[in-house]
Amino acid sequence: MRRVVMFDDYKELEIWPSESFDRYLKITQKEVERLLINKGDLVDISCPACNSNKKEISFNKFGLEYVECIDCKTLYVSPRPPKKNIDGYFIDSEASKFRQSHIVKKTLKGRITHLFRPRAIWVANLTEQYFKNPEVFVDINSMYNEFLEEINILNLFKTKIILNPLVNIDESLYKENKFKIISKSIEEISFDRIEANAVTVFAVINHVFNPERFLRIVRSILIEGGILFLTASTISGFDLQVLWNNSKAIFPPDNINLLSIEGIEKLLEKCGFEIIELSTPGQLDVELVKNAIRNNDKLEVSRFVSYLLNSRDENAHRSLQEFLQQFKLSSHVRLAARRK
Amino acid sequence: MSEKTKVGIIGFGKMGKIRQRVVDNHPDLSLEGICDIVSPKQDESINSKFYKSYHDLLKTDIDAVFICTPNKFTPEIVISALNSKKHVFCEKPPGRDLTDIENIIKAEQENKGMKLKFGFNHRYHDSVIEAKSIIKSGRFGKILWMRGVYGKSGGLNFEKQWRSNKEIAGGGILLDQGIHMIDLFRLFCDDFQEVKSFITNSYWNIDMEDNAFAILRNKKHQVAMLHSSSTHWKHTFSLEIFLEEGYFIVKGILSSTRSYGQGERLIVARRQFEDKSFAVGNPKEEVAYFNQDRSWELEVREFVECIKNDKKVTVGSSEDALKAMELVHKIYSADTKWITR
Repeated sequence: MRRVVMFDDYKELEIWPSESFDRYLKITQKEVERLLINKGDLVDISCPACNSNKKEISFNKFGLEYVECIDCKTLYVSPRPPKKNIDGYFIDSEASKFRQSHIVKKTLKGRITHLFRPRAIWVANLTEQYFKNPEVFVDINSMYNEFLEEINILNLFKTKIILNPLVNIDESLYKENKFKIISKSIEEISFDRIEANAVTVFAVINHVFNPERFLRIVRSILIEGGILFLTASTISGFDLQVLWNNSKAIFPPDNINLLSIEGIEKLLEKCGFEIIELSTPGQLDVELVKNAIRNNDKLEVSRFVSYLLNSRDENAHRSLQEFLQQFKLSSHVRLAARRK
Repeated sequence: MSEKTKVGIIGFGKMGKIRQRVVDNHPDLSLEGICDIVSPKQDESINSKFYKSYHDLLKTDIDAVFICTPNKFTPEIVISALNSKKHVFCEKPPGRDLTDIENIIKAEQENKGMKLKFGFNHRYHDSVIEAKSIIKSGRFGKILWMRGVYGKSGGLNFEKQWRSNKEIAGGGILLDQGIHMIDLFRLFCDDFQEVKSFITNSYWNIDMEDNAFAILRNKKHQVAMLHSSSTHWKHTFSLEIFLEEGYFIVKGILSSTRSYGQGERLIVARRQFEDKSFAVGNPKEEVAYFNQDRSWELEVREFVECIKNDKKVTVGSSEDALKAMELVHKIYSADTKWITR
């Protein structure tokens, strides 16, 4: 299995402008109350990664309870709103619309350079290693048209499909027949029509109701040996572990499943995948904790972390971030796994 | 041929034992016999018949044989196995000199249908497979030059090993270990026609080289530099490949001793001198770490596929072995002081 360490020179603000992000959180909190809490019963679930029922209550965010799996250390929301309400939220909520219009679009240049282009090249490199003439590419719910443009530029796949019931797809992507668009959720399509060499699932697994069911369906549209490319936030990451309930990145419904690295491995194995890469190439963990300490005098973090971040220079912080990547301790995870 | 391919192993030293493990774990192989001049020790578990003479093993109904013997004995046994209508997987190097591999190829040609593959397993390391795949895509342009360093530290009993005996080994560190780097140079840039070299024996009390420094150039003007050493006190494997648009560095190689670097890494970077001034000479690097050496399994899997499906051996073929040996010979010959010493 490969794991990757990489360095880029971008800052938190290039991807998550703080003012817009704070507004996004406020809107999300309101929408969670309107569309998720006040709209039906909540459902108790076992660990979305390892299925264990052993859990401990950790904290409450926006009226929903986060619990930690005793076995694999995954952090997840339980009880949680039913599937149809969560799906509906990502289509109809004001928060989703705000995210697209005020965060993604405003940070597009940085996202293309630092996220979308490297991801497209990652997909191409690994796909070419396993397939001489890859035929079919499928992206599921990416919400990032610009990533799809980058895939298109690489000109690697004969057929490119977007499965996305959630957001409006950029006209340019289907007008010139670059991509075939299926505006349905993955559970609604007829699977025998798709035999994919590569499927991308970026930033999705954190907010689906049932990750195991979702991945089993993804598996069914891959050919044998076909590759799943997945990115997510993981609770094993430094900033989430240090900041825990004070982390701005932990909130429902965007992150109702924060799987640990160990949980991810168990889940993929259970769903019939062989992991060929598991990396945490996150760039921002140390900076996120530094910023959190700087912006909140009352924030309590461990003495050592506080000392390290306040009393050592950029070189030390960069080395720490490199260490976190090397040992799969950054909160951004990416993995590639082949269908067994 | 039976459903499972019946195989034997001749030579049950370090390599023979690695092959035994791979054969035991392969679903389509059945180990029928092991041959060595030394009987296995009591604590060595072998689940097959033991032979003292390779002739006796070759008389059985095995389909294929792994030949893991010291260089001196390799050609005779390979030729004998091919003449006995056995498919052959042979460790590198393919003998002690060019004549050895030429004789082997003659036997191969006289026994059409028999598969012959040599153990250039470095081609099957994940870092090398990935580098080859990306370079092949053309996204980094053409290769400009390469630099390969493969060095080990000898050791306490180095001078007493068969590898340090010229009569048995035929050549020093270049033939023993440097040949892997030469094979990788060929994987990325095909053949090299021009060769300059310095061959030295500077430390070990052996009548062969303990260091080889070579510069090779091919018809496309691609240059490859090689340093093969048994006085590299820190075990080192490094293959740098520089292209028009960036570079690849394979650092460390997973081995049975795990001593060539802290694991195996592939460093990839795009050159940057247009967009950001501070990036000139210091581009962003992506480092892929690999934690598993699958090379032994992958090369044997390919050998079995060639037998089962009557496919031509294309990696580690006798031609690859010949070309690698020709380059080894050229590197020795290019240092006139060395060959006339």
